Amino acid sequence: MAKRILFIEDEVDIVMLMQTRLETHGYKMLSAFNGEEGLKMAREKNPDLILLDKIMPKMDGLEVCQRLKSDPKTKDTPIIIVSASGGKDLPERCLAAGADDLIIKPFEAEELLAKIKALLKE
Amino acid sequence: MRNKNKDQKDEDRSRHLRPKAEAKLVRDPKLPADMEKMSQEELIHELRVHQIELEMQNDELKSGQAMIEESRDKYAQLYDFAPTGYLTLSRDVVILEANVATAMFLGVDHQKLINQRFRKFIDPADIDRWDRYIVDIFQHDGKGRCELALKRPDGSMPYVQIDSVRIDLPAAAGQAPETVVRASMSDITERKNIDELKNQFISTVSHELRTPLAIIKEGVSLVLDGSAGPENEKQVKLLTTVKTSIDRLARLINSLLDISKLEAGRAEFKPVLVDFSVILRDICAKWKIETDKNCQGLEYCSPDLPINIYIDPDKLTQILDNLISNAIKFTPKEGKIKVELKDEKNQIEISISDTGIGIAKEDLPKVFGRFQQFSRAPGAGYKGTGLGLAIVKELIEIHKGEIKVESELNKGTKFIFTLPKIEAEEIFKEYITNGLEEAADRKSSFSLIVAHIMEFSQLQEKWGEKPLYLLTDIERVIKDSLRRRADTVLRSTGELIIFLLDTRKGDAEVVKKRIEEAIRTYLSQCKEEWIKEIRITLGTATFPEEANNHQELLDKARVRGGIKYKGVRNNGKKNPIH
Repeated sequence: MAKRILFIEDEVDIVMLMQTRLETHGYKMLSAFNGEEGLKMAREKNPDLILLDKIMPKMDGLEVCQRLKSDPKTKDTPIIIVSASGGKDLPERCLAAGADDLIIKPFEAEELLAKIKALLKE
Repeated sequence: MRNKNKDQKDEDRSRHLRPKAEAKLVRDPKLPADMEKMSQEELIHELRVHQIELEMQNDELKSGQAMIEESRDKYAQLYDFAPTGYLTLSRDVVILEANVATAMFLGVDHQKLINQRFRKFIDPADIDRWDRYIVDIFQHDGKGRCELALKRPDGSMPYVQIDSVRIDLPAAAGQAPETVVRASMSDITERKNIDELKNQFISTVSHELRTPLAIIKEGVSLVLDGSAGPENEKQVKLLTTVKTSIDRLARLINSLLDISKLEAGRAEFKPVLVDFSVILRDICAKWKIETDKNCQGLEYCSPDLPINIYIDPDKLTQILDNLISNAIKFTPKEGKIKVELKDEKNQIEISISDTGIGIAKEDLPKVFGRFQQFSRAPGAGYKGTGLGLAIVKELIEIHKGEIKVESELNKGTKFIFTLPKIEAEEIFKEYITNGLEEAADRKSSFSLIVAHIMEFSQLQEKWGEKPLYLLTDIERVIKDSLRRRADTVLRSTGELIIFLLDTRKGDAEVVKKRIEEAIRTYLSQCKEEWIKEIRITLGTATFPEEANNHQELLDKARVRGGIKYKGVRNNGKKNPIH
């Protein structure tokens, strides 16, 4: 069965493009457009991996990440943070929030796919 | 008021002169010969004429004096109330004189400035820079400029620009000649604020640009790789060009962010001890693939011995990648690129030379400026951003090094840069000071653990490179036993220091125990005989409970290190070292 990836991201356009990308590579994509919706979906649909935008209105990606990692239902789901800002200590802060990996926008699709594959142990 | 004072002074002076004049008359009571023949009337007349003459002379003197005083006052006022700060500093950097503007800049009463040390008015973050600058002025350059943040007693922090000149004062009688520095100080706070605003603007805009760029890039990639259906050759060609430009734009945004961070002084400098020749060799090996492809030669020269210095490896890689890729880009096929490393006493020198197209003489001064591109690489392909060398220069400068360029048109270009060998203690100081400041700001604790291999230099003499390898192994063992990424381990020859942010005394002890156990396990697995000669001490100290400044903290952690590993096994018998 196709692995399911949840993409939590407020930019609709990038969600749409990623859907095409992931589906051509045999994944099924679920999407959520803000942190709260993302948390709810992660709990209900139990995806195999989560892509999480860092900068979102209301709830910041790192906070979403922390909540996902402290919830027994979702704590084992690998999370890749997608961020448009490099910023000071970003890798450290992502790791501190419990994220498994990080990718900076604009990214190479190949790089993201490689990271997904590695985390899904494919 | 002032005139009255002056008249009073004149009167005092004449009263003081009178006894002297009388004494003189007693000593020489004879009248001039021709006067003896004069009648009394004639004598009185003559005397009055003399008196009037003297009075007139006196008036002239007085007005001369007044003019001198007036002009002296004028210059004193020009000095005292000039809108620019003026000050004179002695050899031990104490303020000898200063004007009112200086006092205003420093936020201190004018009267209280004299004999104060200048560095106490500087923002602690800038003190090191100031010390280096003023030592240079006194010992080498003789004049120079520096920008500093001051720290006023009221907490405000103006930025000033200081221009200094060294002056050798003529020796006063019986005293050694004195050397002082005269300095002027002007306010550049506004300019700094605008700079800050500009850098923030660049940073925000760049981040905002990245998201739409990611969308464009992903869209084009999807069409290009056929995910959106089949496409013809012409479409692929067009979209490939688009993708190249997107990548270039992404690089430009990254470079802009880099330079704004560097200029704002927000770039982190994380020096660690590395064998520089290994770093350079690896980078050259990486670029060799590229030069082989281009039929160019890449030669690498370095001394055989390891060159252990403190650098920030990521930043050094960025510097070298940039300079080498530039050389490759501007060197034709069959051309040669040479990377050379020289170990000098207090610094290392790295040069990257090529037999490429060179830079025109009139362009040389602009090489390190922003958005300067002189000779674009011909044809399609990788295009630069015009920021590369500006970034390289900034990156070298945060290492306290220097870069220069030599070039001749159609013959080739040579970039030469130096990196100073920073002492281990200085690096430790910087890390600890940063840790202390952060802890003080956040009202939290900061702990140090020092692992010290005793008599390291003797071990090196006896066993060659083995102790160094052991030290790096122990460093790895320690790193593996630390659980937080933010904890840093620094190595010098014979010593490892572990910096634990936000860590209280009790927690530091726990970490120390864990490290101790890890080292012991590691060493017990080493089968080599010489390991038995190793003695390791481990000590810890915590701010603010046990120390207030960096030296105290370091000393305490060092002195407390009881010997934790001695030969094969030692059951925690404490043997403090000094």
